[in-house]
Amino acid sequence: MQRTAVQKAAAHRERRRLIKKYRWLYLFALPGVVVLILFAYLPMVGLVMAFQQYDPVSGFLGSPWVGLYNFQRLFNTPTFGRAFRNTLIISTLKLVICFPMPILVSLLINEIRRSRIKKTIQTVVYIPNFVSWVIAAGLWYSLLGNSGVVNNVLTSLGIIEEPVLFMQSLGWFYPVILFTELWKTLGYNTIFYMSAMSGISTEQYEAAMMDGAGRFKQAIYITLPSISKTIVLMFILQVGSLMSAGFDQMWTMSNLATRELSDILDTAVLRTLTSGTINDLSVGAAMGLFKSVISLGLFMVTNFLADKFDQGSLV
Amino acid sequence: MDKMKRSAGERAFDIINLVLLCLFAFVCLYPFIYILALSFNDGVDAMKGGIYFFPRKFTIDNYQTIFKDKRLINSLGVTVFRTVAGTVLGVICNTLYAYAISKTDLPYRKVLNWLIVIPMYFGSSLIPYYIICQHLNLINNIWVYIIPWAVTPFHIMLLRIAIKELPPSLEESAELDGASYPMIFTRIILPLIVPAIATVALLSGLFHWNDWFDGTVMTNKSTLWPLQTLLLNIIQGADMSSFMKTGHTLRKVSITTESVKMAMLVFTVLPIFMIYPFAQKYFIRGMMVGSVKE
Repeated sequence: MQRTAVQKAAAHRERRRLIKKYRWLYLFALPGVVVLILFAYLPMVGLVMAFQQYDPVSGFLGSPWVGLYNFQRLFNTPTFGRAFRNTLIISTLKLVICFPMPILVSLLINEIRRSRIKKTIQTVVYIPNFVSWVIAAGLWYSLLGNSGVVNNVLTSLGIIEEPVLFMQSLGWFYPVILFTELWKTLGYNTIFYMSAMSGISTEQYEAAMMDGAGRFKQAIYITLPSISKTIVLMFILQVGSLMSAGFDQMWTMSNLATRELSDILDTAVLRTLTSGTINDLSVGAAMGLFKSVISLGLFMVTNFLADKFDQGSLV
Repeated sequence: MDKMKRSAGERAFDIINLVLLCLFAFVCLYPFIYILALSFNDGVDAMKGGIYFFPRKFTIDNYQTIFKDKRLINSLGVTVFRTVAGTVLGVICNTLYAYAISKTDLPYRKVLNWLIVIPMYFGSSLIPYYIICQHLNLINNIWVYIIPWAVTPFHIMLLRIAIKELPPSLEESAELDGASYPMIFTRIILPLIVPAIATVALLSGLFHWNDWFDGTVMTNKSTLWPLQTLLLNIIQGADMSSFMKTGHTLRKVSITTESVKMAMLVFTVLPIFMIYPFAQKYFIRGMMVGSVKE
C-alpha cells in the first residue's frame, strides 16, 4: 500500500515536471483549443435549442424547455418528410450508380501500358474535383442550357426537335444530378484505387502469365482482389454519409422547378435560416440534430464493420 | 511484357480502352474549353449556338465589362483577403497544434487529440453555429470567413504524421543543448516539414478560394460576398443589372448576361488552373496520407 502511494506521488511529480517542461506546447495548442471550443463545441452544446422554444433575447440558457415538441412539429411538416425522402433517394442512387464507376475506371486506367499517357489522363480527370460546385453549376447550366452544346448537338443530329430543358425539368433531374456528380468525383475517386493497385507486386502478374492467364483474367483474379479492402472501406465510408446526399450540389444546381426532388435535409435546414420555410430556428436545429445523430449512428456501425473487415478502425 | 507478341484481341482491347479513357478525359476538360470559347465570343452572336471549341466572333468586351464592375473587383478583394489571411492563420494554428500533440508523453495529450477527432464525426449544427457567430459579432463581418476555419482537424493529422516521421534524435540533441521549444519548432521542425506545410497551405487556399457557403449564409451584405457567392447569385438569380448598366454606358450591344457570366466563370476558375500543375502532387499526396494513415 505504502509503495503504491509512493509511486503515485512519484508519478504525480513526474507529471508536474512534464507539464512544466512542456509549458510552451500548451501555449502552442491554445489558439486551436479556443477556436475549436468556440466554433465546434459551443454549437454542439447549442443543439439543446432543439429541445427549447428558442428566443434570441433569452439565448440558450434562458429559453423555455419544450421537450420533444420541436421534433413533433418537425415530423409533421411536409417539408421534413420530403427532405428525408429526397436525401435517402439521392444518396442511394449515388451509392448504386456513382460508387462502382471509379473501380471500373481504375481497372481500365491500370491497363494502359505507356506511363506518359496514363499520367496525362489521370491529371486531366482529377481537375473537376478541384473546382467548386458553384463553378460546376455554372458550367453545366451553360452546357445543358437552351442554346448550349448538348442541345445544339442533339438538335443537329436530329435526335430532338426542340431544345430540352435539362436543368428545369423534374424528369431530367436524377440523370443530371448523377451525371454531374460523376463528372466531378469519378476521376478523383480513382486515386484511392490506383494507389492500392500500385502496391501489387509484378511477380503476381508474372506468375499468372506463366499459368496462361490473359489480361482480363489477371484483372479479375489479381487486381480486383488486391483492391478489395479499399473497395470495402470506400463503400463503408459512402454508407456512413448516406444522410448527406451532397449539399453543395443540391444548393447550387437546383432551382424552384426542381425543388420537389432536390430539397434534402441539409438544404431544408439552411432554408429555415435564410427564407424560413419552417420559419422556426428551433425546428431547424431539431432537423440538424436528427441528421447528425443518424449520421453518427451510421458512422459507428460502419466503423464497427470496417474493424470487422480488418481495415483498422477509422477513429 | 513488351517483348511478348500480343494477340489481335489484346491490341483491339488496348485501342478501345484508350479511346474510352480519352473520351472520359475529354468530358472532364471540355466544359472549361467551352466556357473559354464563349467568354471570348460576341454575346449576341453566341445565342445562335454552334460554338464548340473556338470563338466565332472574337471580342474581349465580356472581360472589359466584368473588370469595369465594382462588385466584381470588391468580391475579388474579399476572396483574395480571405484566401491569404485564412491560409496563413490556418497553417500557423494547425502546425502549432500538431507539434504539441506529436509529443507522446505530453500530459493531457489525449484530451487534445479527442478535441480534434470529435468534430470530424459530429458536424452539422448550422443553426447554433450561426447563433454563436451572431453573439461573437461575426455576422456581416469578414473575419467569419477566417477565424472559425483557423483549425482543420484533418490538416492537423496530416502535419502530425509528418512531424512524427522525423527522427527523434534531432530534437533530443537540441533539447540537451538547452534550446527552448519555440526555438526547436522554428529552427528544426519547420524546415523539415515544408512539404507537409505546402500540402496543408494549398488545400487550405483551395478551400478558401472555392468556399461560397459562408458568403451566402453568414452575411447579408453583398459588399462582403466572395467571388463564389457573387457568382452563385448571378447563376441562380440572373442578377446582372449592374453589368448591363456598364454595358449600356459603353454602348455595347454585343454582350449578354450569358456571355458576361462566362467571362466571370473563366476568371474565377483561372487561378486553380494556374496552380494545378504545380500543386497537383501536393493535393494528391495530402489526400492519400489522410486516407491511408490514421
